[in-house]
Amino acid sequence: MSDSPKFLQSWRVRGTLLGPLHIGTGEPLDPFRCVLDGDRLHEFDLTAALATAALAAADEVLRQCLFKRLSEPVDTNSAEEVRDLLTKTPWRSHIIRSYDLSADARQKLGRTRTWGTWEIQPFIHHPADGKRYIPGSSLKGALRTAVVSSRAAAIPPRFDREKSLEKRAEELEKQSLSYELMGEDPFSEWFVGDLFFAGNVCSCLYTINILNLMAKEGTGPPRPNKPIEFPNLVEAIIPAGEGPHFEGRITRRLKPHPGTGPPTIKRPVNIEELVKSAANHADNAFGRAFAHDQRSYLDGLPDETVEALVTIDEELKERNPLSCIVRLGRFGGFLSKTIEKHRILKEHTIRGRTARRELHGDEAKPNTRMLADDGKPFGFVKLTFDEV
Amino acid sequence: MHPLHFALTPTSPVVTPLRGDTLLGHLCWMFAYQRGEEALLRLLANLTDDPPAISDLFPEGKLPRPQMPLPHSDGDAKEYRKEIKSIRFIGFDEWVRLRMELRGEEVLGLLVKAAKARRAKRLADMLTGSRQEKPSEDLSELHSTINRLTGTTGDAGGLYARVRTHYAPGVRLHAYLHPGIFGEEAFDLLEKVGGNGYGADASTGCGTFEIERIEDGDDLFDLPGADGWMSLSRHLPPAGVDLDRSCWRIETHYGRLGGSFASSGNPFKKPLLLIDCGSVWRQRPFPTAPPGAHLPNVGFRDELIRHLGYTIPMPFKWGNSQ
Repeated sequence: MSDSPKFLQSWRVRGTLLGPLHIGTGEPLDPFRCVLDGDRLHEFDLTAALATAALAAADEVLRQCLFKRLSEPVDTNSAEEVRDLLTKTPWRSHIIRSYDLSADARQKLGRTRTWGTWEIQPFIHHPADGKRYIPGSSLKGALRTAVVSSRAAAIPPRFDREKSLEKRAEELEKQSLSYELMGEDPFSEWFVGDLFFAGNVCSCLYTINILNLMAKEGTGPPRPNKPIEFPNLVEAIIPAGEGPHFEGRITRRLKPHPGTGPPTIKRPVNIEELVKSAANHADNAFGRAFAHDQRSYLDGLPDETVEALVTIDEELKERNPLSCIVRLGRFGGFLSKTIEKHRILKEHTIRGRTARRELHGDEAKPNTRMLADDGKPFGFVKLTFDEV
Repeated sequence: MHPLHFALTPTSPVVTPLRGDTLLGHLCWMFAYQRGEEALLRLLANLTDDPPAISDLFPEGKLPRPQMPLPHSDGDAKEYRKEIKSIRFIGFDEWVRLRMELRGEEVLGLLVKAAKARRAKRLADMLTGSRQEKPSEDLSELHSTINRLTGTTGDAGGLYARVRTHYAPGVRLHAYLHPGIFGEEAFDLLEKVGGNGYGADASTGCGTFEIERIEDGDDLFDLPGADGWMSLSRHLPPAGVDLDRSCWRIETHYGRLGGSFASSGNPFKKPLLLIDCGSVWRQRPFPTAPPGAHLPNVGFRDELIRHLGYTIPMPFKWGNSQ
């Protein structure tokens, strides 16, 4: 900018997807408003489709059948019948949105009789044009968690078992960010805009594989159990070319002057701390087995998963003052320790006690992972910040 | 007075309705962010010399409906009363015709015609099952609250909803700007407001927009012999008007402080009674500066907080019977 504002600093944020990303709308699609056609799932306006169906006798029978079926509970016996009836409506003229399907999703949807039990979770999108985007609130929340995690490490853990988890979380957040009133919250200075995808991404509906790795004490590294089926289809954005894949803007608005204005911020967060905290948090949360070369942990995992994890691990090792890895959206990725578990670990260490399976030297092994059906963990993105 | 005409294209959802006086407040904050609070206070000390004003945002090609008392409803006017009440805008061409001799009967006739067209379209859409494309829609969006300790939502899911106004792609609104004391900097400041975000949830991406000047040379502000004007935004009561023969609607405004004060202990302003957009005033001669006033000491914490209640007047001639 030719005249750099005194109290405004902005950075362009560019992100590269390191795997599938899912941020949902919070409202699943109604599977009985969808039709499977080849390798695509189409969401359509059922009301409009029935309204415009020709008033021929056959179509009237179709309309009556469908109304009757949908007004009754749809069980496994009737789900297939309803699905077949839907395909006979003039749905092609009333498509709202279409979704590509992964190979696993196509196979599972094609054969299932439990059509109505699938929960189809689309990616968040603008309702007017269906454009997918990453909400600024998602990134802001992820950065906030990273800073809280980083600063909380310096606060001795003292667990008051009388207090609820929510209360403890709130207190830790306020203590680490040093605020009581909203005006003192250092993140009140940070404005994170929505982030928009470039043309080098595509989206796909995936099923979810849960690898449940629970280690038994004394039996060595955890081994994967048989994958658990999860009746969810989630729309994930995946890279379709080299990054960066999305872009946005982040701004810090300082107070115009400290004088007689509202309460000042006791411990502000600058861009360097923001990026460093995010980098450390991702490193801590990611299977620390990699940091200690505990590669035996990878035994038994699918090849695609190992390849994705190794890539993320290599990205984590690259340290750059204005670049970091962040985990966004749903489905845990490969989170190992949460802030809470790190603090439990620390408390037990201070008291000289072992924390059962949570404490294996300095290891922090993930014990539950939700992966996309292609084996890749969700949500890891690499961010770079350029001042504008 | 010939204000700048500009188009505004929303590039993200909006939570706080786009109103002229709220935009003006954002302009002041952007000035403060760039130059400091002292510089803003020095500038505002000369406010009454040439007060700034921004009109409300209107759909492209539209202006606010004049707040005229309509003749006693009868016939079509009675039948379409509900639709008439919901009509908020009229077209440029319709205003050009009305402004030469503004009368309640003319306004009513125009509104009845618009109401009939609206009802016919709605019925046609119902019969054909077609979806009406709306320029904007208020939608409730779900968000999750994350427990920072566990990295997950709580037992209850932590779900909450926020209502946001989404604009259809390509929707353009238009408005007018009288720079006043901000001078040539006003347009740049407004551009920066659009880049940083307007209103609630600007910190998470809401309220961004792009603006561009419209050089249409319209003569809507050029009407020799005008003896009245229509307000294009909310404002405080103006001086020098014929109160007995003017028409206005009052709105109670529960304003909020912006900028750094938005997250302070008490972000609310004292409630104000404001004159709504579209009010029609009788005044001669036509004002040379934005009419209205400013009200000091409207904050609960700080005496410096004020409300700038100036508006942009659009001239017209009253009909003889009014």
